[in-house]
Amino acid sequence: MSTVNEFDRSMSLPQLPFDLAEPFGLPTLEKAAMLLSTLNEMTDWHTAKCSPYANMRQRMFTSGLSRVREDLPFLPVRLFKTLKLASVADSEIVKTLTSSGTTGQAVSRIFLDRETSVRQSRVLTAIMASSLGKKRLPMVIIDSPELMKDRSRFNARAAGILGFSVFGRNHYYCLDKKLQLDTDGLAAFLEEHRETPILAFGFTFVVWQGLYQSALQAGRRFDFGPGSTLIHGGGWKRLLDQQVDNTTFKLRMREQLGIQRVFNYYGMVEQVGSIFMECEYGYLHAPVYADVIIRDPMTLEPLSVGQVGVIQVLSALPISYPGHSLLTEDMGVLHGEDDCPCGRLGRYFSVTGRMPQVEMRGCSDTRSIP
Amino acid sequence: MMNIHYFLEQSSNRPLDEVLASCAELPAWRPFDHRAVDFVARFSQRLLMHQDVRRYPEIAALGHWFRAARMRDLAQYYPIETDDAVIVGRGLTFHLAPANVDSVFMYSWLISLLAGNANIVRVSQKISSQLAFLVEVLNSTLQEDVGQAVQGRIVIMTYPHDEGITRSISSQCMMRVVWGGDATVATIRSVPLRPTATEICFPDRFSAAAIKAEALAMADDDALKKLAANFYNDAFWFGQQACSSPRLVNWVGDSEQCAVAQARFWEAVRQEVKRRAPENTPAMGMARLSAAFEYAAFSLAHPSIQEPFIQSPARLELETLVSSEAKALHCGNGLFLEQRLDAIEQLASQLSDKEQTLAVHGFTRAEILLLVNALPARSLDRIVPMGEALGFAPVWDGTDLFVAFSRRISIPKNSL
Repeated sequence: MSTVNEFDRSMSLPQLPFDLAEPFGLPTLEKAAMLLSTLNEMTDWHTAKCSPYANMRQRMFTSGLSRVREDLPFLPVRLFKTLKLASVADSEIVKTLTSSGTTGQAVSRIFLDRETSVRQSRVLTAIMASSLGKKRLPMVIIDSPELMKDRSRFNARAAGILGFSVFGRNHYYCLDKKLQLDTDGLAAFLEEHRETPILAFGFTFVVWQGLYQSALQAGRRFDFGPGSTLIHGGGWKRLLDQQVDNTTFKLRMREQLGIQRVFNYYGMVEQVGSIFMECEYGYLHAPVYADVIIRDPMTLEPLSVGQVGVIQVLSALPISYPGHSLLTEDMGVLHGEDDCPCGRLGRYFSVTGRMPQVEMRGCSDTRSIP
Repeated sequence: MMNIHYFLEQSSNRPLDEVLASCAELPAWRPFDHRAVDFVARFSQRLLMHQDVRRYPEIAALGHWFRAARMRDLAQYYPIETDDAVIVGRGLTFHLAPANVDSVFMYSWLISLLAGNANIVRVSQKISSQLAFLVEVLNSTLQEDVGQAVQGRIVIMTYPHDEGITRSISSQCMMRVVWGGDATVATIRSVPLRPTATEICFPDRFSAAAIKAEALAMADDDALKKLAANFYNDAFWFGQQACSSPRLVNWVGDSEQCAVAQARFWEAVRQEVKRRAPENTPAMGMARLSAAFEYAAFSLAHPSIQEPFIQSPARLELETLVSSEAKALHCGNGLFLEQRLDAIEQLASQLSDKEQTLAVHGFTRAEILLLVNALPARSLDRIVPMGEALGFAPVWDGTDLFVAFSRRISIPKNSL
C-alpha cells in the first residue's frame, strides 16, 4: 500500500454550485447529482491537502469516485477530538472552533480558513432567511454577555451566538453570568419593542434552564408578542434526561413566555453553517448544500424512510478541514424526500437521541482518584 | 470526611479516624487462619448458590475458585511455619479497585484476607450491578456466625476524588494495592505510605496471542472449534478490556501458511461469536470503527480483509512493528491487530514492560523458551495456553500474592 497520496496538490477549490436564494428549492433528482459531484471533488481536495485524511481514505474505503451519496467516504465525527485534521496550512487558519464539552472531556477542534468561514455565514444567512424573512428584528439572546467576552475559549456556543446574531438588531443578552434571567431587563426590552416581532436565539438547554426555569421560579410570565420566533439548537441530551421533549418544550415556551413560533435546528461545530432547520410541521430539513443519510448502526447499511439509525451528515462547505461527510453518534429517522407539507424540497428527518456510550469495563479503567 | 459511603453495615456512620484506628490495631493472622478460610468458603458457597449468579459468569468463576477444597490445596502450598520462620499477614491493607468490578481485583482482595490481613477496599463511585450483588452476598455472609470473627477485617467504601481521605488511609496501612490506569497509579503513588509499608500496583497492561500457522493447519474441525472457543473466552469476556484480553494476534509461519490459517481461524471465531452472541452494541461498533480510522490516519494498520468494518470481530493488519502508539489506540470491544512473524522469538524485540499475557497455540516448549530468553527486561508476566488468559492464579503480574500479602518473622532454627 502506498503511503503518499498521488493527487495533484495544486488542484482548484471545489465550488458551491447552488443558488443561495433558494436553499430548499431543488428536488432530489437535481440536487443529488450536483451535491454528489461537489462532494466527490471535496473528497479529492481533502485527500490532496490533509495527509491523515488521505491515509484513512486509502485504507478504509475503495478508491475512485462515488456514484451515489451513500458511497461517499465518511469520517466518524469523534476523530476531530483525537486528531488534528486540517486541509490548509496553519497560516491560513483564521479561527479554531471547539465543541463545548464539559471539563476533562476531549473537545473537537475545527480549523477554519477565510473561505470556509465565509461560506458558513453565507449559507447560514440563506437558510435563516427562509424561516425568518430578510428583515432584521429586535433580538433577545438567551445567554450571558460574559460568554462573548472570553475570547480565549472560542467554543461552539459563542460561535453559534456570533453567527446567529447577524439576523437581528438591538441585541439584548437576557442572562447574567450565572445564567440567571434578568427578569426586569427582559420585561423592559419586550416593552420597548412591543410594536415589532421579536427574534430570540439560544442553546436548547440554556433556554430551558436560564430562561424558562428562571421565569418559572421567579413566578414571572412574559409575552414576546404575536410575531415572535425562537431559534434554538445544540442538542437535547440534558433535556431528555429531564423528560422534556420538543412538544413539551414548545408548549412551555408559549405558556410561560408567549413565544409563538419555536424552531429547533440540528447542527454541530463540525459542520457550522449548513444546519438542518425545523419547519412548521416539526421536521428537520436538509438544505441544498447538505444532506443526511440514516444508517443501520450495526452494519452501516443505508436505511430507508421510517427506520431509526445513526445519522451521517453531508455538507458542501468545509474546505479547510475534512468535514464534508461525517458519521455522527446521533440517532435519527428519515421521514421523506421532497414531500414535506411545508413545501421545502429535499430530505426531512428527526433526531431521536444520542447513541449510548461504551461502558468501560475491566481492570484498566480507574479514573484518577487521589 | 462526610463524603465516605460504607457498604457493609458494621462500619456505617463511623468517622474515618475511628474506622482506621480500629482496623490498624487488629492483629495480623497467620495465612489460612481457619476463621478467614471458613468465611471465604461460606462466602463463595453463597455466591454460587445465589439465584442471580447466572447473570455474572465471572462471579461464578470467582466463587468456584475460592471453594473450600481449593483453599485446602493452597494451604498445603503455602506453609505458615518453617524451621526458621513464622509467616503472618502484613497488617492493614488498602485496596483501590478499578472503576468496574473486575473479578481479578476481587481475587486479590480475598487473598489478602486469607493471607491474614485486615482490609479497606475503596471501590468506584459508580456502583455496578456486579458490585451491588457482591456486597449483598458479603453482607449476608457477615451476618452468619462465620462472619463474626472477620467483621472488622473487611471495610468496603467509596468516596469522591479526595486526596485527604486517600492520604489518611495511606498513613495507616501496611500495604497498598492499586488497580487502575497509568495515570491513577501515578497519582496514588504520589500519596506517601508509612516508611514500613509496601505497595503493589496493577497498571494498564497489553496482552496478545500467538498462533503457529502450521499447527493450525493440522487441526481437524473439532480441534479448530475448540481453539476458537478458547480464543473467545480470552478475548470476548469483559468486552476485550481486561488487561489479559488479547488485542494483538501474532501469526507465526510463512505468508502462505499464515494466510490459510488466518482464513480458517477467523471463520471459526466468527461462528463462535455468532453462537455465543456477546454484547455488541452500536456504541461498541462505533468504538471499533473510530479506532480503525485512527490506526489508518497514522499509517499504523489497515483492515485485514475487505468487509464491512464495523462488524465483530474486526481485524486490522499492522503496517509497522507494535509501538506504544498502536497499543494506546486500542479500544477493546472485539478489535484485533494482526501481524505475521517467521519465528515466535521475533516478537521479543517488540515487547516492553507494558505486556502482560501471551496466549499461545501450537508451539513447543523449546520455541517458548527461545522467546523467553530473548525477552527485554520486565516484559511478559505470563505465557498461557489459549483459553486461559483470564484464568486467575495467585501469581499475578509476576507477583505471588500470598507471598506479597504476608511477611516472614525469622525465628531460631533450634528450640532455645
